[in-house]
Amino acid sequence: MKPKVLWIEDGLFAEVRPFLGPLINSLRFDLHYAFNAFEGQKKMKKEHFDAIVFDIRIPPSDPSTSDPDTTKWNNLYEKSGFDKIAARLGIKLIEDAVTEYDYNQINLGIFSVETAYELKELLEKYPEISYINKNERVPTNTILKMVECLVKGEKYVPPTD
Amino acid sequence: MINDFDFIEFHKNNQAIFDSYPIGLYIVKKEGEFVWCNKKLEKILEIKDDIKNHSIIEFYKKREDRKTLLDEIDEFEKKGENDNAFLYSKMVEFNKPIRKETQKKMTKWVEISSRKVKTDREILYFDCLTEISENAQTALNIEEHSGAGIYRLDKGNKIVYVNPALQEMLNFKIEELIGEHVSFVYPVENKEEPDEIEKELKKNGLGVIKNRDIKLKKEDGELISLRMNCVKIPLDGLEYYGREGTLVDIHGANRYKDLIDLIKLGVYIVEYEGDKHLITECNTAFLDMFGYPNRKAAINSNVYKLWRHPEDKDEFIDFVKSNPGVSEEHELQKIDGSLIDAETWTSPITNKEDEVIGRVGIIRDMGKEFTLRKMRDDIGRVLHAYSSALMMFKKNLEPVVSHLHPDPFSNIKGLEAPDFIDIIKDNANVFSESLEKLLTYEKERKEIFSEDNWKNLKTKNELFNTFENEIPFKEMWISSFLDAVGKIRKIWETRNKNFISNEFRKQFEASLEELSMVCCLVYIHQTNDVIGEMSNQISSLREYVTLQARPDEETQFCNINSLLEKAVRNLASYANEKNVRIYLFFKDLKTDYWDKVRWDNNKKLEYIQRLNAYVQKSAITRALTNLLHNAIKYTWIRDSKNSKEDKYINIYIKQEEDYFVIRFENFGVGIPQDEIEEDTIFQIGHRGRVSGMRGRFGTGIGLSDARYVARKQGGDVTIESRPATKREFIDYKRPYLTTATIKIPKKIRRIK
Repeated sequence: MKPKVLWIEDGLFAEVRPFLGPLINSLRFDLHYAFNAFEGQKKMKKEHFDAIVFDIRIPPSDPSTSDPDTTKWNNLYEKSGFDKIAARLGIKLIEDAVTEYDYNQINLGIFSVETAYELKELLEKYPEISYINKNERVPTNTILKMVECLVKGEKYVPPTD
Repeated sequence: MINDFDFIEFHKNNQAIFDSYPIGLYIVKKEGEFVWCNKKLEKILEIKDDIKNHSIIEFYKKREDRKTLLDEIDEFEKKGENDNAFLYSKMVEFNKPIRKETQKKMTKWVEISSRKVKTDREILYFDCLTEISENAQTALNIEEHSGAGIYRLDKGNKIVYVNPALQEMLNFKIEELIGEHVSFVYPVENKEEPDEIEKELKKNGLGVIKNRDIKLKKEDGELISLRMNCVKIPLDGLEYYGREGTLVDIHGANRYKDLIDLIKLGVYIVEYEGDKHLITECNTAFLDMFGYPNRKAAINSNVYKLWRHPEDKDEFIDFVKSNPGVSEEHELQKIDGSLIDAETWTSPITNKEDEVIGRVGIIRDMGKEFTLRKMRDDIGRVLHAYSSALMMFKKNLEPVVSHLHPDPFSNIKGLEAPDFIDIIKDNANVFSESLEKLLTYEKERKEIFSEDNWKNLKTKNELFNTFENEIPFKEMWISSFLDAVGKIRKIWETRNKNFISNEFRKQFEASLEELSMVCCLVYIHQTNDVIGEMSNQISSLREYVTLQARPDEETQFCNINSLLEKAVRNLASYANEKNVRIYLFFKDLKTDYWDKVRWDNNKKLEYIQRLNAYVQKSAITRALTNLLHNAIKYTWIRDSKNSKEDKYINIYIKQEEDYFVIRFENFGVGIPQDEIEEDTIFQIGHRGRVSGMRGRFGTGIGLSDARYVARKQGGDVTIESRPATKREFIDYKRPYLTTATIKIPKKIRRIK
């Protein structure tokens, strides 16, 4: 059985697409994807993953979804003035993963444009979570490397620029 | 020893003389019964009947005061100091007669000088009594009718008198105040203040406090600001029997001051005293702005200490005189010497002779604004550099694409997944066959690749056999293939060339190159599209950032049709790239029919009617361009199965009574209703929840700028979005009919 990995990210078809290649081609993981907070939560609720990679600035839900569970995310989004940057729903999703779905923080990783300073509170609260700053200097095999660590229960520390 | 009869008779016999005295004279027995008095005393005490019916004690507010007086006279006597006629004088608080009209029991202060007279029959006291006020009645009237509050406290700081004005100010009933310690009307935090005032009165020798601002508590608890002046009783000497004074309501003035304090601009008054120009009033913002620790530090300080260039003062004074209230930029400084860039508005203060005796001014710290202005200029420059860089990217990519030949996507504009999936899949399958062949190479296997490399190639082959099932989203295939092909190429380079046939090498390398080239071409085309979008966005952003820096554009009388034509012409190549055709519909006012015209870049439009008005020509053209750009960007093909079909948008132009109305209608990406209702689609930087679904790039500047431009000229921009086809539930993956409508007022006169 391949380890099950969930990647919650709304830019999978856009800016992070090149990062998918090495991950898919490794053929070592059973990969699952979510494009927004609601989908991410739904998947975490339904099954257990060996590793989860979170984006922070994600949309609440697909606007055409009528599932009542989208309300929570849509309300959080509304409170932030319909701004996914301000809403930072990924943070809430990580909180839910640890508190509601009993994920061990060592199996969780963040890949986000948010700097470590901007995520200081979260990273101090969950010091075992792996974190990679999303920028153009990051090699495309980085997510693969992080996922390899996460499934083993190891914290991934990216090499410094 | 004086003969008792003679002593009394002497006074009676000389009654006329004593009656002319300006002070009250009287003789009383030890117990206080009157024996004799002059007319002045009767007047002071307002005694109408026989004096003998009265006792001096009944007029004392505190009866024990009389006893104290007599005891003290006895003390003097013991010391042998009772030789002079009047040996003792003392301030005594007397009851005034009850005033009929007010029914209020009032008190007055009198001064009594007394002499103990021992006659052959008894001890008598011969006293002189004067009212503290020279004209008691006048003073009383003033007290009663004064607009200022008047009060009197005894030596224990208890209230003994308040006039009606003060009662009204504090809103207490008289009986609620009289007898209370004055701290009763002070707010809790200032309960010690009455004792401080007493100490100050005793200390300063003069026995006077002038213009002290205090706060008292009204009956309902509200605080009232009052300006107090008070004197010690008696004014001369070291004794303290209480104090009296006036209180003026400065609450209104203080409220105004409080209001001035709320203003975040520095407000100040400078008064000229010869060469000295001193700050005499200022608000809190002024103190904060210049770093004064408190008001005291600022008041009466030289204003030019706050000037970076005090040598300019004469020039400034002249400027203020001839340009009152005109704004000026100034380099000022805090008291610690740090620079403040400020904008000031100053007006002179003049006296009756029209001489300038000071100035009043407002100061705004421009530091932040200057920083913002600088930032705006910097951002403008950076964005300009980005525009140039993007242009370079686009121009550099053009030859790269033309050299990657053949390009199966050369005729496809706005490359999206359905356009390239089949081609990629075909190439992947061809390559997969080659890879399969390589893996089945049996001859000299160990010589060709290492065991690890054979293993790696096998793993990659697994991917090519399973990608359709394993990779759920077709959009992800390319990244996977590119990564795999890159690694296979590296392994291929390690082969032992002697053991692979030339024919197979050619076939394998051709299929590998084909696959990697189509994948790269997709990336390049898509990147090229994003660069185009981004370039447009950066131009809009630069325009937006620098907009405020430019003076308002003058309105010009122009034809709205020609502005629209210019906007369409601006975006014709963009529309062409996106395979979007543009149709214009002009409403004929006479026939009420819509006249449809297909846009042709090579033809000039024939207008049915000219729509002329005064507008800001460039701004309106920009707004029209932005709205059209959005319409093109978010347009889909109507039939998703037929990727060759053209996309199109409609532009409707019509006249209403007061407006020209231009409506851009497109078929494609929808806008959720809440984003329209909440106005979020007009927020800069807001990207619609649905707009990003197809990987489009945008910052929302175009739409918000268009509305800003329209509203500034009295018009507006509105958005509507509804499903293009009937459906039972919301599905933004299906097309919407979205309209952006701009209304431009028909201004036929120039308004500046």
